[in-house]
Amino acid sequence: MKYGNVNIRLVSLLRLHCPLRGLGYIVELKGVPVVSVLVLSDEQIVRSRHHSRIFPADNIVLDPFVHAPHFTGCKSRELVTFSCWWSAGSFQNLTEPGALQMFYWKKTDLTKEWRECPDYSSSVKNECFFNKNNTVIWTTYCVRLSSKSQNITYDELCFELQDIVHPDPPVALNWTLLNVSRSGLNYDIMASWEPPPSADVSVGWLTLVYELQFRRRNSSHWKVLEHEFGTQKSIYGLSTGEEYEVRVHCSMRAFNNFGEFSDAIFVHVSEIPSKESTFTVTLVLIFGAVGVAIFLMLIIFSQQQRLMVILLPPVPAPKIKGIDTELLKKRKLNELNFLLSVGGMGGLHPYPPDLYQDEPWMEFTELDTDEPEPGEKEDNQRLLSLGHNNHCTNHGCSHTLSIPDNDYDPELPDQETLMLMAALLSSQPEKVEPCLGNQRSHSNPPALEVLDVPCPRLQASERGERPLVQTQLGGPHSWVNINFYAQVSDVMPAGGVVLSPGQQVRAPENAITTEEDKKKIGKMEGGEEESEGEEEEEEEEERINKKFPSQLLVVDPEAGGYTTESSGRQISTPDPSSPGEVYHAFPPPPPYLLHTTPLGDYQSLYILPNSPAQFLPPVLDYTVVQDVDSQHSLLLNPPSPQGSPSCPPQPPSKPLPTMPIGYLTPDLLGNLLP
Amino acid sequence: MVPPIDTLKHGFPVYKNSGPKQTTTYSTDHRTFKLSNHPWQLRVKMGQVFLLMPVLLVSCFLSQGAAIENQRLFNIAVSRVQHLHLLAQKMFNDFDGTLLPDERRQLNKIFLLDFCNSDSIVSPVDKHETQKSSVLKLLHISFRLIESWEYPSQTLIISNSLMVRNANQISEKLSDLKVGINLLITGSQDGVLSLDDNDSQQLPPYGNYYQNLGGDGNVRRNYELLACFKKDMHKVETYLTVAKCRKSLEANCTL
Repeated sequence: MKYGNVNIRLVSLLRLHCPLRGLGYIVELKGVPVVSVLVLSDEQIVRSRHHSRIFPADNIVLDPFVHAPHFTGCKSRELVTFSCWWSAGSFQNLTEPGALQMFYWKKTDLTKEWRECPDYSSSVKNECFFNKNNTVIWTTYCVRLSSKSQNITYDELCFELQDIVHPDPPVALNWTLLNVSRSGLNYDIMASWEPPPSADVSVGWLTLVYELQFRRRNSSHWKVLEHEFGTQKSIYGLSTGEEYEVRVHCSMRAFNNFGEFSDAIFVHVSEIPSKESTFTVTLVLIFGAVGVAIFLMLIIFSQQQRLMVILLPPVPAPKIKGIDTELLKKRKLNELNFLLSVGGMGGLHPYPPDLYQDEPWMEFTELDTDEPEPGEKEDNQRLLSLGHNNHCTNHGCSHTLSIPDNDYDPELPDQETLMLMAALLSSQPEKVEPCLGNQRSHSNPPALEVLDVPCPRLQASERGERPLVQTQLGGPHSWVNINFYAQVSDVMPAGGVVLSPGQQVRAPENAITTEEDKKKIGKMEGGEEESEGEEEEEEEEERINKKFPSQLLVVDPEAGGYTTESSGRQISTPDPSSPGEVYHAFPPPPPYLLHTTPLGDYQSLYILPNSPAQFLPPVLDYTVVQDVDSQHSLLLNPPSPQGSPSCPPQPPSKPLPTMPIGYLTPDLLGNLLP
Repeated sequence: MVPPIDTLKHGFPVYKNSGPKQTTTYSTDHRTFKLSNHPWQLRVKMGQVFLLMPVLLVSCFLSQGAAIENQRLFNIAVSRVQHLHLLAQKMFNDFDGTLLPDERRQLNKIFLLDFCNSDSIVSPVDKHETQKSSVLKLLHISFRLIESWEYPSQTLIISNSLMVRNANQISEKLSDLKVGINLLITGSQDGVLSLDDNDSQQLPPYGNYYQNLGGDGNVRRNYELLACFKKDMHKVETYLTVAKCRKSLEANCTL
C-alpha cells in the first residue's frame, strides 16, 4: 500500500494487506477521499462498539520501523487493584511526561465515557494505578493511550480484571532436611513458604497454586515441580555435596498467570563421611562370609556320605570273584579267615587263580599240575586233598565232582563244601577251560564226575592257568571237592533243575558269542536267584534231590564255571545285568555231562541230552550236559567219541532245540539217562 | 413466669412488682429476710438452672454439630465449584486453541463488549462488597448463578480432552451444586430471609438468551458461551470460598 493509494473502507476491524505491521483502521467516507489509517501493534488493537473514529490522513504511519506508543501491560496483584504501563515507543516528541494520556472505560459505567487515569504513578514512569475504589472485577475494562489532545489514540486495551492477575511471589521460602539416604549420596528436603501477604488468602479471596523450581547451582535448566495446594513441597533425590537453587511462584487457580518468582534459596548438604559405615559394612561382610563358610563346612562334614554319593556316584566296583560281600557280612569270622587265607592272592582271590579255565562249568575243576605255579597248585591241592580224584591228563587234570546220593548230609558238608567251592570257584575265571572234555575220572561212586578236557587251543593261550581242582562230591568231603556253586535258577517240570549261569565269564580269544546265547543267558538269569542263602541252597538241593533225582541241569556261571555261593551272590548283587548267579551243586542228581561252550564273554555249561539238537544254542554260562555216563558223571562235552580229549568248541551256533537252556523235557531226559 | 407470691405476710398475694417494697419492709424481720432467700425459692432457682443447663449443653453441642456439618457442606460445595471452574477453563482453552489468532482477538473483543446472561444478576464485584455481603446473600447469588447455567450448559462445546462425555454431565454437576447450595441456604438461615426483594425479582431472562446469538455452529456464540461460563464459575467460586472462610473457625481456611 502506498501512500495515497490506500483503500478506504468503513470497517470494524481489518487486517492491512500491506507491508505495514499490525492492524489499522481504515475509514472510507462516502466520496470523501479521506484516508485514515492508524497502524497499531498487533496485540493492542481493540475494537469497541463505541469506538469509531476517523482520523485525518496525515495520521497514516507507514513506516514499519516506527513504533507507536503502546501499552506494555496491565497487571493486578491481588484482584483488588491494578496498574497499567505504557511506553512512548519511538516517538521522540512524546517521551516527555504528560504527552500521553491514558483513558479508561469500564462496562458498568453508566456514562460510557472515557475517563482519564485516576492515578498517574509518580514513582514509576508511564504507569497508571487503579486503586480499589476504581476496580471492579468480572467487568470489562478498556484503557486507551492517546495523545494529550485526545485526538490520536495510539493504543487500546480491554480486559477483565481476573484475567490479568499475577500474584506476588510467595515469601519466607525455607527448606528443612527430611532424610539422607543410607549411602549418604542423596537426600530429601521439604521446602516451605508462605503465600504473598498481598494476596488475601486467609479470607478466601484468592486461591493460589504454587510452582516450585529448582536447579543445580551452575545449571541453566530449572526443574519444575507442580503443586496444587498447600505451601510446602518435598524435593527428593538431591545429591549431597551439590548446591541447589530453589524458587517458587504462584498463580490463581484455574488461571495460568504466574507471578514473579520469589528469591531463590540455596540448599546444600555436605557429604557425610561414611568411612565408618563402609568399615562396618566391610566388617559385616567379612564376618558373614566366615560364618557362611563355617556353615558350609559343617554341612559338608555332617553330610559327607550323602554328598559323596550325590557328587561322586559310586562306580560299580569290579566284581571280586570269590568274595561275596554277603558272605563277608554273614559268615563267621573263622570261615572268613578260611576264605581269605585259602586264596593265594592276598585275600582277594581265595581260589587258586588258575583254578578255572576260561570255560566255566559247574562242578568241574581241573588242576593243572604242570602249572609253574606251585604255590597255587599246592594250595589247591591242599584244598583238594580231601578227595584225590585227580585225573591228570597231558592237558590238565580233571577231577570228578561227586554228588552223594542219599546220604547227603545237607548240613555240614554243605557249608564246608560250599565254602570250599566258593573259595575255589571264585578264582579267576579266565583260567577256566573253555570246554570240557569227556574225560572221565574215577570218582567215588556215586559221584558226579565232571570231566573237563581243556581245549587245546585255549590251553595254549592259557597255559599256566590251569589248576583245575578236582573235586568230588561224596560224603562230607565230596563237597569239599566241589569248588563251585551252581545256582538253581529254575526247576523243570520234568524234574530237572535249571542252573543259572555264573558270573565273570571271560571271553576267550576266539570265543563265539551269539545273540541266542545271550538271550539264553538272559533267560537263565531271569530265573529265580536262589543263591541268596545257604539254606536256600540246601533246600534247593534237597528238593532237587528228592524231586529230580535223575536230572541235573547245571549251568555254569560265567565266572569260569565255578563260583561259590557267596561269590555268586556278590557278583549277582552289584551287577544284576550280568548273569551273576551262583551255581549250586546238586548232591543227588545223577551225573550229567557238562558241556561247556565258549561264548564270547561267557562260558556256559550246557546239559546236553543225547540229542543236542533239541537244545537251544548254548547260552552264556551254561554248559549243556551232554551225557551222563555210567558213573553218573556229567559229560559236558558234545557227544563226540568217548575219550576224545579234544574238545571241539561247541559252536554256539549249533542248533539246539527250541527250549530254554537248562531245561530238559521229559523226553530229553530219557535220552539223557543211561 | 409467675411472680413469687408471698402469702405469709398478710394472706394476700403479693406480686413481684411489690417485691422490692416487701423486702425492704421485711428486711428488719429476719423472718421475711429469710423469705427472700427462702430455700424453696433457692431450690426453684437451682432447679431451673439445672433444667436449663442440659438444654444449653445440648444446644451447644447441636450448634457445634450443626456448625461442623455446615462446614462440611461448605467444603463440598467449594470443591465442587472449583472443579466446575477448572472444567470451564479447560473447555475455554481448548476451544480457544482451535481458533486462529485473528479470530481469537476478534472474538475476545466481541465478548468483552458483549453481555453475559448473568450480568443481570447483581452481585458484588469487588472485594469490599463481597466481604460486606452476608453469607446468605452470597449463597443466594451463587444459587442463582448456578441456576442460570443449568440449561444453557447443555449447549456448551465439549472437547475430547475433558473427562466429560457430554455437556449433560456438566448440567448434572450444576444441578448437584445447586442442591448443595440450597442445603447451605437452609442451614444458614437465621429464620428470616434477608434477601432484598430486588434481588429475587432480578431473575435473568435465561433460556433463550444465548439462542439469539445464533445456532450451534456459530463460533461467536460458542466462544461467548464458554467465556461467560468461565467467568460465572469464577464468580461462584469466589463467593463460596469467602462464605466458607467466614463460617469457618480456622484462620487460614484456604490453605
